[in-house]
Amino acid sequence: MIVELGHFALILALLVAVVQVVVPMFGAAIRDERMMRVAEPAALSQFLLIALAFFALMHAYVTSDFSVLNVAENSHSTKPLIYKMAGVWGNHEGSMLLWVLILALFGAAVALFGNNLPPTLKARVLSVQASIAVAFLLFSLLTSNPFLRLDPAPSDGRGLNPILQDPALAFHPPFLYTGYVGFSIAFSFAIAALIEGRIDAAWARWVRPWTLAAWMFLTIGIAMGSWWAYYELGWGGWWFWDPVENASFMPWLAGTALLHSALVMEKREALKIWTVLLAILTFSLSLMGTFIVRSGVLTSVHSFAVDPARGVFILAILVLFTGGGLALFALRAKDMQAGSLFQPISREGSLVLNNLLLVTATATVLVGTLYPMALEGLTGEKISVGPPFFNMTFGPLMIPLLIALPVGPLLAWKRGDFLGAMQRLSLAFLAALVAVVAVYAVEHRGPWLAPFGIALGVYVMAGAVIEWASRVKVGSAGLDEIARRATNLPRSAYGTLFAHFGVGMLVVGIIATSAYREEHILAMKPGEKVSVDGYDVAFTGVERARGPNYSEDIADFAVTRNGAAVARLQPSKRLYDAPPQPTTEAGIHASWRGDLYVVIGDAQPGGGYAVRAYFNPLVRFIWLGALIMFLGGGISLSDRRLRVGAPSRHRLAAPVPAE
Amino acid sequence: MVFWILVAGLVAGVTLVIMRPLMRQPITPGGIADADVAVYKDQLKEIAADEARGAIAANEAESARTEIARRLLRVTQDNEKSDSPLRASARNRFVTPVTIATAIALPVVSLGLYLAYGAPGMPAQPLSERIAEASEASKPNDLIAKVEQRLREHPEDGMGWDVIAPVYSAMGRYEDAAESYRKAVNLLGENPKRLQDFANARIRLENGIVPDDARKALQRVLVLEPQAIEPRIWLALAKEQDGHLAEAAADYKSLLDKAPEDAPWRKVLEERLANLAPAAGAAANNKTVAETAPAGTPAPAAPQGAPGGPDASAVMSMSPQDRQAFITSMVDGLAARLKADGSDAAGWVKLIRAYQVLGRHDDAVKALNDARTNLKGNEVGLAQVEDLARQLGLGS
Repeated sequence: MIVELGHFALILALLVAVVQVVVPMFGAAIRDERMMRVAEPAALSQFLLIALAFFALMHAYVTSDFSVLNVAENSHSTKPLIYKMAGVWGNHEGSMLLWVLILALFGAAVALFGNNLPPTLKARVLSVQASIAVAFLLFSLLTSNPFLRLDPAPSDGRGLNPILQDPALAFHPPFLYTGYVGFSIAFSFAIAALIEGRIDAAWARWVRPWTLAAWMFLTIGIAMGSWWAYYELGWGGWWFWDPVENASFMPWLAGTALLHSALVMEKREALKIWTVLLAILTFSLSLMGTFIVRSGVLTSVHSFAVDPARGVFILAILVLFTGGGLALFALRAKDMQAGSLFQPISREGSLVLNNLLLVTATATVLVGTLYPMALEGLTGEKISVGPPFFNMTFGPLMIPLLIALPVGPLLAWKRGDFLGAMQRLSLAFLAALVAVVAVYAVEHRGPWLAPFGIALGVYVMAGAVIEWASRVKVGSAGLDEIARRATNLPRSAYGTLFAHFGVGMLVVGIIATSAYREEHILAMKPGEKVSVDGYDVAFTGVERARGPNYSEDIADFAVTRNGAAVARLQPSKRLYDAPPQPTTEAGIHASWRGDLYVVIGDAQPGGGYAVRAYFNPLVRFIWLGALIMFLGGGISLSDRRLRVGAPSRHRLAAPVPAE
Repeated sequence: MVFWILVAGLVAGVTLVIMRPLMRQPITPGGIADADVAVYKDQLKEIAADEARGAIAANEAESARTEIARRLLRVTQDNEKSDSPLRASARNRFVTPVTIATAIALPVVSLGLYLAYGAPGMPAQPLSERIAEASEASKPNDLIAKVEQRLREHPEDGMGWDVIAPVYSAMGRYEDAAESYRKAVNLLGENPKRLQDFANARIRLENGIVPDDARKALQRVLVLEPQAIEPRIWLALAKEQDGHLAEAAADYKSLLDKAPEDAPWRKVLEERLANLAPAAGAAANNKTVAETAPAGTPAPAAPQGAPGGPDASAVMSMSPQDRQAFITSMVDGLAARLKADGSDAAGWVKLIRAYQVLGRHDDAVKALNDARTNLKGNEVGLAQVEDLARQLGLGS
């Protein structure tokens, strides 16, 4: 019964969404307050209905109700509870349900917290948001309905792809989707404003918190995916420029650009047209990512079942929203007034540079992702655009971006003092110089440019701290004064500090790992030793063990450093029961210096095992950096100023006698 | 019925909530520009704060203020230009049709779509309930009947054979179990567990004699998993049953040499070897002894393997004390193994049955309780144990 109730709720949600598209939009057009107001209860009930459907499906997973086709195909009775729950989004149908759930969540959040919006704008935003929901609910119900039933129910399910049975992966999709789908709100704001024909600084302030929320969840979602790939795939790498990764990275790059251009728009009412375009493009990239991942144009762990009808449907959604959005933009953009003027050397100028570089980088990734697919589609020729392409194109674009990053916040709006900024950054330059020397002193191998890369990261980190220090007048004020200033500083300033500092850490981690990783691939017999970056790794043997739903060969490695025991690493190779599929579990010893990473491979004819051992210096900085960026987003989001700017609620709602 | 009441409630609730704004008296909200004005006023405050903090110079603050003031002015003008802020008239001719359309469309279309796509009235079938139902039925139970039905229609469903085989095994239907495993192997391919289970079912069916097809399967297990122990034990026993006593003894010895100190089967093998030692010596002189050498004994858990079973001639040939001691040691070995690893449902079934056959009722009840604790979460296994408990009349 619960399952059927969920199915019905999903259908009702579709109908509610249709009402939410039509009535408020019409109401806004004829300026009828009552019709516009329908948007709010509609958005809330749409969310609750989809949540009901979602939890009905989760209930079916948890109780192993194999009379639900989706559960029978993707779950198994012996799976641990957490993966039964995570199994809901570990497949195509369920993950689309999660997608619409988050879409509706953002709509409901605007309905609840968007009291500061002008009524017509709010009605239109919710209407556009609901139109996206209609498209995806139709997609879900028509091509990927999670509530189809099976009678008689099979005795057991087929199981979740074992490679997905992992804690990081259980939580990666909800975070990633919150980011991906969150940009829908920016899109809805852009379309609503284009329909409304009014775009000003206030619009940017209203759209910024939503973009920021989406951005921070996308950041942490991508980081989780990368972290999972690092320890689960067993290659010791953390980013592969895989089309699926790129699909999530492109909206991130565009979203980062959007976040910064909205800042300019809010403060200076410049870059209006550009910001609106970016909002449309960012969500379009999210949609394109969904298309790439879900249509089956490429096979990966994310593509699940491949069904051409689904691909065509998502493509239609993509064309409709991107095409429609851009067409509306083309129609309306010429009516918009250009914004204020500014000098090239100014806060605005630096943010324009940031946007140019980020958007170029997005385009680079887009080309590198789509070109091989298009080529294969047109000529059947398979080419691989791997890391070399991206390292040669994307990498160089990041260098000026990172160099300019600490300078921007130190420049004033309108007309900046470049020399003054440089002067204030002198300590950061010094830190970078020290970093170069230190790296050369410690590492004699690796590419000669690598120390400069690390220095660049250090410079960004130092720059973030200097910007904060100069705001609270460290060096020129007394301690009391500094403390007072530090507490009075708006939270968004701390958000900037954290986010930029996190970027610096990320860069240091990436460069250090890429340039100075040590790699050994060898066949080892029990009793043999290998030396990895000062660690002695001794192979003790392999044992067979049984987990809840898999059997595994656990290898045992004793790790010592200068004779002192450091750790026991137990990488393993698992074979899951249902479906029978092997996975690798890396043995990782983490420290501040970096990770010792050991993976066990197949048994060799001579009696040994294939072993891969890596030392990945400072690799944790990558995820730590992302985490700090996430926190920065959160701190900034908690800034009071993003919430106010609203006439108090009672004034809005105070009943006034009819004319 | 409850379902339809809930559906009706859901539709009615949602429709009413959505229509509420349409049915209320219209109100005039603040002018459109109010929201913009609030933002700009807030920006002015921020500039004042920045200036007070010394973050921006006075002249910069002044120019920023001018800029914001200009924006403020513009939105106010825009607002005055637009005819009326919002239409608040109750006589808007669109409201009534929209309200009626919504009130009709929401329930009618959603119910229509649901009836077309949904499966109303189809109950949920959570696994726990299905297993409970299945084991409540005293006749050949529902679950098995369902799976059998499905397998008759889709004999190519290897997973189905794989699932039903252990159930047959637990029910003592070894012939069906062996056949199901054979089909599962043919359809899904070999894996050590499947082959081992097949061999076990065959051995049980033959009351402990290791038949040829079981031997082949055990040998395949060893090819796939050279370090496996269980097939070696059975193969050694097979040699013994063939009368190759010396070879069997050698195999037992080598197994014992490699066995960890705490291996549960160690004691069993030791006793086997002890029994064999004189026999092996005799065998050299008199081959016929081998024919009566203990056979079929390593499956004491199966009721047929217990004393008095129809084909337990080998055990019968022992002296009563020897026989008792031998069986006890086998059972204890199994108990020790399950104590170390309690996840083996078939093992628990064997153990409980063996205790019951031996008349150790209290131990059987205790083992049943242990099995229930250990198999928590393994719903299929638990159902097997419960089934057995019912068969044997052990209290719940």
